[in-house]
Amino acid sequence: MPLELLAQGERGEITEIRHYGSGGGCHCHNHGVGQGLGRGRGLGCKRVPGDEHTTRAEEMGLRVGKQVEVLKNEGRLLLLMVDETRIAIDRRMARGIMVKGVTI
Amino acid sequence: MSSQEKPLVVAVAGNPNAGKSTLINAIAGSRLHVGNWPGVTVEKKEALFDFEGRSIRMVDLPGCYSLSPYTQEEIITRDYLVTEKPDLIINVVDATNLERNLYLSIQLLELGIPMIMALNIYDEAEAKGYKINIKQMEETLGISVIPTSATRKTGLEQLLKAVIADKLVSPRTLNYGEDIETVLTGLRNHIQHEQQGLLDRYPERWLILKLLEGDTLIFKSTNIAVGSLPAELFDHLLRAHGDDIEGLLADVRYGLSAGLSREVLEKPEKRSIEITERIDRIVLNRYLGIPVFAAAMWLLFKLTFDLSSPFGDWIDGTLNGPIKRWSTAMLSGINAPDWTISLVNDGIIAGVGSVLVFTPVIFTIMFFITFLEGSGYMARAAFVMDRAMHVIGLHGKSFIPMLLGFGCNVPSIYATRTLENQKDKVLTALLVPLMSCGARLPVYLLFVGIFFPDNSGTVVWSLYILGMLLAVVMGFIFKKTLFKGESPMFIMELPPYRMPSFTSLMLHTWEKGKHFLVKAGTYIFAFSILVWFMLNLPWGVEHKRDSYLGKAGAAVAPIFQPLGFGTWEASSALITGVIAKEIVVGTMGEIYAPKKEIEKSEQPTVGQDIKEIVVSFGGAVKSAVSTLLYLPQKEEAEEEQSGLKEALKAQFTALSSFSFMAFVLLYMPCIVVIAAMRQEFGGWKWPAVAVAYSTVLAWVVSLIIYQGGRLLGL
Repeated sequence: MPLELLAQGERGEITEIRHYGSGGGCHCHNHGVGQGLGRGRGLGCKRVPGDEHTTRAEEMGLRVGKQVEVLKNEGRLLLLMVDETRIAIDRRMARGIMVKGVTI
Repeated sequence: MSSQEKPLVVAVAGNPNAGKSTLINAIAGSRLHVGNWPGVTVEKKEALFDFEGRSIRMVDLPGCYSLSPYTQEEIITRDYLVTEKPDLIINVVDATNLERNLYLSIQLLELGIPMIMALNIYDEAEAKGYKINIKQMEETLGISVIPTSATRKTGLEQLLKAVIADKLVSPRTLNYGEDIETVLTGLRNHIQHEQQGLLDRYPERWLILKLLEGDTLIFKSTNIAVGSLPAELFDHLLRAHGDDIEGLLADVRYGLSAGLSREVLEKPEKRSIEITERIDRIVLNRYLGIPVFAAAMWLLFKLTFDLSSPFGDWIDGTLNGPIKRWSTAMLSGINAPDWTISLVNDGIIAGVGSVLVFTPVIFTIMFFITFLEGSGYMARAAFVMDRAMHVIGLHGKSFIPMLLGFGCNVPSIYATRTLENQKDKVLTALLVPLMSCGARLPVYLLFVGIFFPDNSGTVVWSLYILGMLLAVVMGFIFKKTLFKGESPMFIMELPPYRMPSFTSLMLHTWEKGKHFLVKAGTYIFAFSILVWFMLNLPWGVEHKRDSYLGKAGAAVAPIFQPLGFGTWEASSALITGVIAKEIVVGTMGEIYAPKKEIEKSEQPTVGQDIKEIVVSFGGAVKSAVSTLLYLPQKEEAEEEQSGLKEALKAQFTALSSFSFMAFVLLYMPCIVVIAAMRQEFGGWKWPAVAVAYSTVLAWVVSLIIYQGGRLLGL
């Protein structure tokens, strides 16, 4: 399920990070990254390398396999705790992060 | 004693919030020189100093999470490391957040530049019960790892000792797995065969990795055509791991950082509820969050203005009293002509002085903002205000600059630095001038006193509200036109609360305020001279109306006719108001009611003057302290400006005066704001947009007010 649906205080393990925008469409932002070999382009949207915000999220520690705790989930933002980092992300982004529930 | 040899160039790199800047401040202190990276407004800090006879040049690189080419900070960092080739990197790592920080470390190691790791915030990690096996880290990474605490200033000497003792050999290469390593070797041989020069120009492994990742910036700068690399080299990798090589490499690096952190770090079983969590429960509470924020902001404004305004008055008094008298005496002493004396006194001292008066406000507000930033609260404020700001297409972080705008627009423009996204920065800066700053208040006060004596408070308040409503409208319009496209996604780290050290507070306050002093000072200086000449030329002009400024005023006056104030006097005042809006009042005073010659009989002596300066400074301190403690104070008697009031009554009506005030609120930002925008956004484009839209907006709004009012029979 999307991370968005976790309630305050719940935990989940990230299973997938979808690089989708809000419209449900595929955001193949053409930053040109990943096409250096003349490949890896236009082959579906499973992961669109170069989506800078999801990349940023991953650099901050939101990655597949990580446990997240939802500290806050109200309004437009979610506050997450991953390892030792508190990260605020907007709902749109939380929609693209898939988690499986973890019981504490 | 400075050593003769070339200084050792040490680049300091690390994640945001890893305490990098505190570490550098602690090491270099006042030797720190702050500038900008060429072409951008990201700050560049450098320090040159000696340590145990070795000269060291330390360069602070912008905080970043990785070396991918997505943000300005990342690009600056990697360009510097790749092209300038520092002798050594100090990688500042947050010991309480090892895994994430190691991700950058691993990328830094790819560059093959000798490296030392400062395991910072080590004291907090220890307090949390973390055990870090430093020896194992050193062995795995092949670099020295020094535990430090920048706030407590521990480990800094060991760090510098390690720096000068370093043998400057490339660190160990980490193995990225057989599949990748095979491709890397193949690619390397290919490049060596085709373009040998490249391997000398760039760090070898890094270049090959970037080519494999398909980093377009690298393809461009190496002149390698996209897709020209032999496909058979990658076939196996693509078949085994799919087509997303950049993702694959990221996964490998994540794996390495996670693995290393697992190996060396031992955490206590149960996580204690930290202080940060406790504060956040209140500060980010759904119901309390906004009241807490409002209270914090009220306190910030209250403290800022209470503390600083007596000093502003003191500067004003000193400049207009003793300094002007001295300059007159000095210039007369060398037989300078009268016009020179007037240029210096009425032009330069008055003009530059009107800006200097704001220095105490700016420095005080910057001090409090630095505190809020350094403590970690600023990120919370952005979190809390996000929903409200979303209405005008901005997110929470933009709220702080806008709020500061009510004090003075200039620090607001600089405060847009805290925003990450260029689009947000520019949009926020464009809306900031709509926040009615303190300099516009004197104009309102003059007019409401004459035309709305019974409800002056309401009228002034309505102008503030007008500005805010227009910010909402303009924000919406900009969003639909200049800043089209989806609003960027919001992602922000909320750092743990920390008490900023006093020295680092002072240093950052000075850095922020200095821009105002230096840059604003130069622009204002030049402009003051220009305006003085415009008011006093052609030579020997008798009446202000015949001066160039008067003529310019008369020329633009017809434009203001439909707004209800199409006189040369009002127009000239508006022209000079471009320097700073409160000058409108001063110019009106000059034009409508020329000052009588000041009696030159009772000149105080220099000794009396100095005494006066010192005594009044003491008075300012006393007054700042007493307002802070809510002690009662004597109200100062307002100056009588009856001549000016009579003249304004004859030329304005209540309606046209309101239209004029609205115009003053909205029309082009003052010259200091324009200069600040130019400095922040590197170019004249955005200042020009701000000038154009605000002037058009002012005209349209005033037209609606005046003509609408007339239709209603006001």
